[in-house]
Amino acid sequence: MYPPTTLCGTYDQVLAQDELEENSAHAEADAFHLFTTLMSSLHSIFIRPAINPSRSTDTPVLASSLSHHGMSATLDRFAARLRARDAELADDLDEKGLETTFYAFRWFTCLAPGGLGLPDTIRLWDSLFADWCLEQETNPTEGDSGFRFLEDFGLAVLLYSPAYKRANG
Amino acid sequence: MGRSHRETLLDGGFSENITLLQRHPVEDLAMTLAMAYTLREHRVTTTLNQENESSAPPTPSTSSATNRFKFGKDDESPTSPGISRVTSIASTQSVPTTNGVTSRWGRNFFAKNSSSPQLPSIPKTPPPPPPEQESMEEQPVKFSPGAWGASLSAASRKLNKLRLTTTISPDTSPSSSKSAVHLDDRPVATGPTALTAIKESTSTISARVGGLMRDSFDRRNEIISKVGGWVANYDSESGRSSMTDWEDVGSQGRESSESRANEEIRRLEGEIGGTGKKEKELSPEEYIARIKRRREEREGKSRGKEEREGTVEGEGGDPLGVGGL
Repeated sequence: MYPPTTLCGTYDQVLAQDELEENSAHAEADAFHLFTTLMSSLHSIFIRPAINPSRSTDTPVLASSLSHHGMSATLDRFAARLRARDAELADDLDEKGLETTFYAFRWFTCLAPGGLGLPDTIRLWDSLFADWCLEQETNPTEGDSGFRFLEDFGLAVLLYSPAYKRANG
Repeated sequence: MGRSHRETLLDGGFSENITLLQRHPVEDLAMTLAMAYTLREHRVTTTLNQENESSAPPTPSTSSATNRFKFGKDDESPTSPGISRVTSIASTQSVPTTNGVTSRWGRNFFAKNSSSPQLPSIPKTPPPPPPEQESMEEQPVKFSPGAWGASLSAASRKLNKLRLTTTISPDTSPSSSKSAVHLDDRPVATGPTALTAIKESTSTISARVGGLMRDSFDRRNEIISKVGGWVANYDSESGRSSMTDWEDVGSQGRESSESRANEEIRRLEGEIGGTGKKEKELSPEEYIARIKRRREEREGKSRGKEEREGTVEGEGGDPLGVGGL
C-alpha cells in the first residue's frame, strides 16, 4: 500500500470512530489536516535529494555534505545501531544482500511495519507520537530527524520479536 | 518459548527473510513494544551521557565528576578503556584498607549506611540542655495582642521579683522564674523579706516626698511673707496659706480636713450673710445716698492726695529753682 494511503487511512479510521456524530462527520477533513501537518513535519524524509544521495550520483559525495535528516540518514543510523547491537546478524544480512532499504524503508515511510493490523498500528502510533513529542520538547533540533522510536521498534522486531509461526513451519 | 526473529533470519535465505520482514514482522506487539522501550531508554541514556561528556572536557579533575553523573549502564557505549580503568582504580583505592586514615577525596561517604554494624558512641560532652519553655513563651512566633500582653505581664512580674528579691539571684535558680507571680500571689515563705523591702522602700519614698514638700512650702511661705497680702488664699488670722491645709491632710486625716473645710465654708457664709442682711435692710434711696457719700469721700481723698503731692513738688520738686522757666 502506498504510504500516504496508509497514513491517511489510519487517521480517517481513528477519527471516524469518534462517539460524537459532529466529529465523526468531519473525519475526512480532520484526517487531511492531520496528514498535512505530519507531512510538513516529516518533509525531510520524503525529499528526493536526501534519499541516499551517494548512490543517486556517480560522483563521490563528501560525508559532510550528506543530509543528516533524510531517509538515507535514518536507514544508515538504523543499520549502525543494528550492527552495534548484534554484529553477527548484521554481517549475515549483508552477506545475503538483505539491505535495510528492502524492509526498513517501508517501516519508516508508513510509520508501521507491513502486515500489522489496524489496532496494532494505532497502539504503535500511540507510543510513536508520544516519543516524537518528547523528542521535540527536549531537543528541538533532533525533532526533525523523524521518529526515533521506530528505530527502537525495528531493532526489537529483528532481535527479540518472536518469529511468525508460518515462517517456522 | 519459540524461536525469535533473529534465529529465523540467521537460518533463512534472502527470500524467506524478505517475506518475513515485509509481511509478518510482528507476532506479539506487547512484547515487541516492551523491548522497544528498553532500547529507547538505552538510547536516551547514551545520548545524555554523550552530551554530558561533551559539555565537560575530560580533565583528570572532572573525569570522575562526569562519571559520577553518568546515566544508565555502561555496557554498550565504547568509551576509552584508559579512562575507565583509571576511574575504577581510583574507586577501589578510595576504600580505606588498613589504618582507617583516608584522604580527603578517598573518604567512603556511605560507610555509615552500609551493612557494617555501628556501636553507639558516647559523647564526651553532655548534650546541651533543651531550651526552656519559658523562653519559648517569651518569644511569641506570631504577633498577637493577647500573647503580647501575656508576655509583657510575665516580664513585668519577673522584673518585680528580681527587684524585690535581692537575696535570690536569677542565675542561680533559673527554674524559679517559672514561679514569677504577682506580689499578692507570692508564697508565704518569701513574704517577710518582700514585705520588709516594700515597707522600707515606701517609708524612704514617703520621707523624701514629705521633705521635698516641706521645703517647697517653706519656700512658698517665705515668698508670701516677702510679697505681703497679694496671695488670695492667704489667711491673715491663721497666718498660713490654704495649701498648708492640703499638707496637713496626711497627718490629720481626711475627717479633720473636711471639718476644717466646713468651718471655712461656715465662716465665709457668715461674712456673706452679714453683708447681705445689711444690704437687704437698706432702701434704694439710702443705697444711692451711700454710694454718693462713698464717691465724695474718694474724691476728697484724691484731692487731699493731689494737694499733698503739689506741696511736695513745690518744696522739693524743683530744687534748683528753675521750675518757672
